[in-house]
Amino acid sequence: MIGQTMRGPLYAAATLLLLLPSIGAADNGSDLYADFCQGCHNEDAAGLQQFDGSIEEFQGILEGERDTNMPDFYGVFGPEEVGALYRYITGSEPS
Amino acid sequence: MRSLIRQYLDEGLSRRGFIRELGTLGVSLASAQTLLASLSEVQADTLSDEALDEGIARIVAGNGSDMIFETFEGAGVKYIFHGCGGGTNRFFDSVLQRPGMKNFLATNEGQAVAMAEGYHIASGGELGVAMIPRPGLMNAGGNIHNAMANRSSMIVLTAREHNKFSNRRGNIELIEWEDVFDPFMKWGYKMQNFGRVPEFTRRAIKVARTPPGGPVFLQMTENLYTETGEGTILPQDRFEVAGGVRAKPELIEQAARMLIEAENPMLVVGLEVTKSGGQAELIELAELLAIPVMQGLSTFADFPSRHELALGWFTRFSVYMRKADMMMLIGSQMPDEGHYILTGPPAEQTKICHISLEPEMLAMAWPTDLSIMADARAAIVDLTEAVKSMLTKRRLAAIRDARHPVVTEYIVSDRARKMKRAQRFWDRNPITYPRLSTELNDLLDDDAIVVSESLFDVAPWFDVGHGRKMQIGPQPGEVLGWATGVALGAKLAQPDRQVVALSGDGAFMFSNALWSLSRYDAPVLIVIYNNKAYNMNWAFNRTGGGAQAKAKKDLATYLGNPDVDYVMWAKSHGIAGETVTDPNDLRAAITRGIQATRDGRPFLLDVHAERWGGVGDYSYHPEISIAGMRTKEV
Repeated sequence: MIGQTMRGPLYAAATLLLLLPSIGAADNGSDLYADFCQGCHNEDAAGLQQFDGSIEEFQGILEGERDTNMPDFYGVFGPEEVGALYRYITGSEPS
Repeated sequence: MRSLIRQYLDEGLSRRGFIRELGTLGVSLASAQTLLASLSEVQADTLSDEALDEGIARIVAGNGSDMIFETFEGAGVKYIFHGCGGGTNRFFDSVLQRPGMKNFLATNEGQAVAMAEGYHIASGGELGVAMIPRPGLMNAGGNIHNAMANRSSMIVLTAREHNKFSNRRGNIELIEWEDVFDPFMKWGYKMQNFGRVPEFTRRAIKVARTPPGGPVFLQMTENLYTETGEGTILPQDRFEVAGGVRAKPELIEQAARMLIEAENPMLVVGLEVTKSGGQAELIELAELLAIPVMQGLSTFADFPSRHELALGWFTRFSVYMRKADMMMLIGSQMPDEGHYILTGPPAEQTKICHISLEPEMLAMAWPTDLSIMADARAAIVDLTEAVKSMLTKRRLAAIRDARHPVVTEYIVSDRARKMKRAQRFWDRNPITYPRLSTELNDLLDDDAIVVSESLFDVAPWFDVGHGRKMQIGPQPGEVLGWATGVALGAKLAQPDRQVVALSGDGAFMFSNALWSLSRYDAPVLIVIYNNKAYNMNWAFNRTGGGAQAKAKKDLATYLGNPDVDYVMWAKSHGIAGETVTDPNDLRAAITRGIQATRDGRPFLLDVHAERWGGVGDYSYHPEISIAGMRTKEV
């Protein structure tokens, strides 16, 4: 799915990610949520708005393409991490 | 450093102990001895006779207040920012007799402190003096806290009760003021002995000015208004503490090696860089190895915001924060969640080197591989030299050339992406922060001084830093009611530079300096980002997901009822202004505001700005009417 959205400015972030060492394999959805989300949305995810959209929409939110005023996660997560977060938050597999 | 100096001055630490403590912190012996020599009060007596012989000391006659102001004058103090009353009135007798000294009245003591801080910062280090009546100390406390967080050098002077009545716990002496302010004053002393007033005033100036700076609390008991005699005023420059504390060369080499060997190093920089005058040197170091730079917690743009290596404000939501294998913090606190929510620890693989003048700050929150106590500029210069000496020019170029395109391509494209996103909402009404800030940035002079209060979202849209606009704020101390007073002090320090004060509507209502800005003809452009809310709290209420968020009702942050007319407020102070509600009117209104300041008067723009970061009913607020609670019409 990330291939479909990797256009224009995203390319630079992707280049950077490829050139940098990969992050630890231990990262998973709940760890990522704890590290990056719960500061605002609480441990129990009480602050998250209901989301049942596609993974492309989810990635758009993370990368500031949607008008949510969330902090900008542009380029921060690799495709597997986006998928892990999506699974953790929505409880469903990316389509 | 603060506690060590304090311990030494209060005789809780011997000379040998002082040097030993500094040595354990990595300060070279030569630097420690220089510092000690500068701190030594033993010199004063010897100097006194010598100085009189040489004609550089002055014998003056007067009361205790005169001794304070003679010492101030001798130290180059020109301006006094003050409240009124509470026993300080007779200090003005001394001011009156010194035509070279000017005094600025504030209608709230917090504004007097903010003015002193703005003057100190914009002047590049001149000492601010805030004269605060003791009932006003509590009002002043918020901005004293801000000044301490910014390490701004100032004297907070107050008059205490006559020593005939001390410690009777009268109405304005319920507490010992020095106890109240001790946590956020660098040092303090209550002067009760006439003969020692020049000595302790001199010492207060020295301690305030010694890096890292901070407010110093100087009190004089009122009996010294009537005690008169002679005092010796010694030249203040003979008591100055040499800055530029250097680290041991082996520590600098170790740090340089960490930078060289890292695949993905990053710098996180803070206010000690600007305070030490090291901005240009920082640019050279970053460019030497093409190291990206994040702006840590600071009131300044310690690294230019538009530099091709500038990653912007510190956030852990960054590619670099996750991928860095080496992070060098220079003159910055470790940004962690205790400071603000978007921060957090670095990734596991990240080695940390922390350089600061303040040992209390070093290795504060995260495990640290190398901590170095040093002046930021000195450390940057030494590091740059060490890197150059450890690599051939060819090797240096190879490292730089490999990293530079990757880093700059990311930064350039990231900025373009953010601007593109902002432009999607460019014509939105209420006006967006990026639109308002960008228009301001375009229209203001290149060397304007931009004072910004608690508007964390606007900083990225300004071209600020070394050789560009000067940024002051947001204030890390986060106490509100700060910007307009700071702007007055900045304009006083730099009358030939444009000064603009940016404030949220909530912050502006806490306290402002409208009266003083008008009274003293301070041509400052005030811009209210008016979103009719305490926006940040509103946003976090929503994201926290508690009962208010679920009900989509925020009890505490709406400011739109009553809907304050800030232009009318300004006009009541003789300050012209305009309300801007349409983004297409922005440029013309800003231009008119700038012209008004060029004509010599302050001007206020009340810009209706969008709220960000939440969902639900923007204008919900509990309907409460106390009049409605009455049972009879009284």
